[in-house]
Amino acid sequence: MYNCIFTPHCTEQFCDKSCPILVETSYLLERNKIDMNNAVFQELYYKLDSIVADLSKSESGVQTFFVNSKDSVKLAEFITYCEICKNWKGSRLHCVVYNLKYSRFVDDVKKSWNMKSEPEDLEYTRIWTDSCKVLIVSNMDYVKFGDFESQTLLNILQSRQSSDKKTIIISPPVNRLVTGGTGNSSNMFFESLKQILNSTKVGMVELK
Amino acid sequence: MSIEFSQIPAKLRYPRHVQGKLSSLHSDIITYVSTIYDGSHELRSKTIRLMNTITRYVVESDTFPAGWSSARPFDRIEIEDELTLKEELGDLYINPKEINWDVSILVESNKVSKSSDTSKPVQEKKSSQNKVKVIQETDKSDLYIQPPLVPQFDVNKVWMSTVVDDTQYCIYTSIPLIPTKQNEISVTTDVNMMSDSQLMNLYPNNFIKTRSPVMYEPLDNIKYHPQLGLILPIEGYTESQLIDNIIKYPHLFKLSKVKDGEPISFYNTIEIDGELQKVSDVWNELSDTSLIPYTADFVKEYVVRRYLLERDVKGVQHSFPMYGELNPFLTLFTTYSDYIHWGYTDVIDIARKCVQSRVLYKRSRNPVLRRCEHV
Repeated sequence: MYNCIFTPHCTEQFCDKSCPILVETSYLLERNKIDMNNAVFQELYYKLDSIVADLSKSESGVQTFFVNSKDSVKLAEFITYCEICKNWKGSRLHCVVYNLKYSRFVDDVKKSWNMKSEPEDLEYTRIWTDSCKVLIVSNMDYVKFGDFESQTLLNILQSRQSSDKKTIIISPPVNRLVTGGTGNSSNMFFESLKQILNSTKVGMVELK
Repeated sequence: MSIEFSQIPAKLRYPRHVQGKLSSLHSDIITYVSTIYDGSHELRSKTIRLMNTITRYVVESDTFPAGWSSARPFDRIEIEDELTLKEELGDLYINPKEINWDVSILVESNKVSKSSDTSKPVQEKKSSQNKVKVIQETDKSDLYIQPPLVPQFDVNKVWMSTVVDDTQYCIYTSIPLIPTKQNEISVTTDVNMMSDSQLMNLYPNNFIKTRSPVMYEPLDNIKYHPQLGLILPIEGYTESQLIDNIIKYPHLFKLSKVKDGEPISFYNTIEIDGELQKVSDVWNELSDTSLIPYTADFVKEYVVRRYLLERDVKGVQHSFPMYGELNPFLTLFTTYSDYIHWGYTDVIDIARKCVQSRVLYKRSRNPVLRRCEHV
C-alpha cells in the first residue's frame, strides 16, 4: 500500500513506488516517525492556517512556539508535518526537516558516555540536527535543565544560527521548564537559554 | 447612472486607439487604491482626479512626468483641476458623483474622526470607532489545481479502498470536508454537502490573473479586453464566443491528449480534419494565426482554445481527445459580481460547476482511481 499524502489530489500519470513525490515525502515522514496512524492525520487540534502562516514568516533563525498544555509533542509533530510539506520538493532523500526529541537526545548522549563508541542512531541524530534545513526541537517538557542540558541546546542553536538555518522550538512556557543543578554556572546557561526562548517567541498555542 | 469603482475599466467607453493603454493604467490605479483605501472623501476625490488626469495624458498623447509609475500613481504627478478636466475630456470624464465605492476599507484614516463632513456614508462612521477591518486579498495559490501546501485527510474516513494485484490502494477523505478554497477540492469532495453560502466562499475577493502574463499585455492588431486580456482570433468564432471561452476556461494547466492510447503533450500538435499535425508544420498555413506571435505561450493558448471551441460550440468529436475531463468554470478567477457583470448571473450554479469540474478533473486523472477502475 502506498500511503501518499497527496493521493486525494493526485493527477500524476502513474502511482507506484518510484514516484518521486511518494519517495521524497515518505522518506521525510519516516525519518520523523510520522506514520498514517499519527494524530496529524486524524483531526485538527488547532487552526492550521495561522500556524502555517507563522511558519512562513522566516526561512532562517530561531522561532519558539510556547505550548500551554501538558504535552507539546502533538504540536511538534504537526509543525514537522507542515515543514515536510513545505520542503519535500527537491530534497533528494536528504533529511531536510528533522524533529529532534530533545529529552530522548539528552538521554542517548548520557548513555553513550558509558559506551566504547557512540551508537549509530545517535550519530545520525547529530548529523541531521546539524545539517537539516529546518530543525524542530520538541519534548523539552521532559528535560531537567541543568548545566549540560542548557549548554547542549545553546550549542545547537548557535551552530545552526551561524549557518543561517531555521530552528523551531516547541516548548512549554519558560516558567514551566524544569531546572536543576547547583552553582552559578548552570543558572547562567539556563538564563541565556530562557532569554533566547523569550526573544524568539512567535506565539502561545493552546492545545486541547 | 452609477458605476462601481472597480468596474471603471470595464464600463468606461474608451476610444479604441487608447483602450488598451488607458484601461490598463486605470486598472493599476484601482489596484493601488484598493490597498490604501481608507474611505476618506479626500482620497476618493484625489483618486478620481488622478484617473481623469491620466486619461488626459493618454488621450492627448502627452508624455508622462519623469519617474511617474502606475505602481505608485500619486507620486511625481501634478493632479489637475476637476473643472478643467471635465471640459477637456467630455465623455471620457469620470464623474466622482457617479462612482459607487465598492472597495473595502483597509486602513483607518487619521482624518476621519476629526472631519465634520456630513456627506460621508455610514461605512466611514464605523471606521471612526477605532475598528480597522483588514481584508486580505485572495491568494493566487488558493485557485491552484495543485493540492494545498499542506494536504490534510482523515485516516478514520476511508473514501475508497481496494486490493489490486496484492497491493492495497486506499484513498482517505480529504479535510476540510467542505472546501474553503478552490485548491482544497479533491476527488473525495461531495458538492451535495455544500450549502449555497459555502459555494459562494469559493469566489476570490479580487480579480486574479490566471492566464499567462503575456496575455495581459496589449498587442497591435489583436483585440484586448480590459480585464481578460488578449482575445486571440480563431476563425469561425465570434468575439463573444471567444470571451465566453476565456471566462469558462481562464487557466490552462498540464493538459495532454490521447494518441494510440497514450497521453502526449497537448500543445505540440493540432487536430485538423481528424488528422494530427505538428503545430510547427502548419502554423504559417493556418488562416487565423498570422497576427499571433509564434511563441510557446501563444501557441498553447491558440491550440487549446481552438480545441475547446470546436468541442463546446461546434460539438466536434475529436479523433485525438483531451486526456481526462476539462469542464467549464474549473477556476473561478474573479469576484461573483464580475461574473454577474459579464452576464453569468447564476453565480451559485457556477460555483457548483467549479466544484464538480474540479472533482471530475481530478477523478479522471487520479492514478489510483484509474488503476482500480481497470480491474
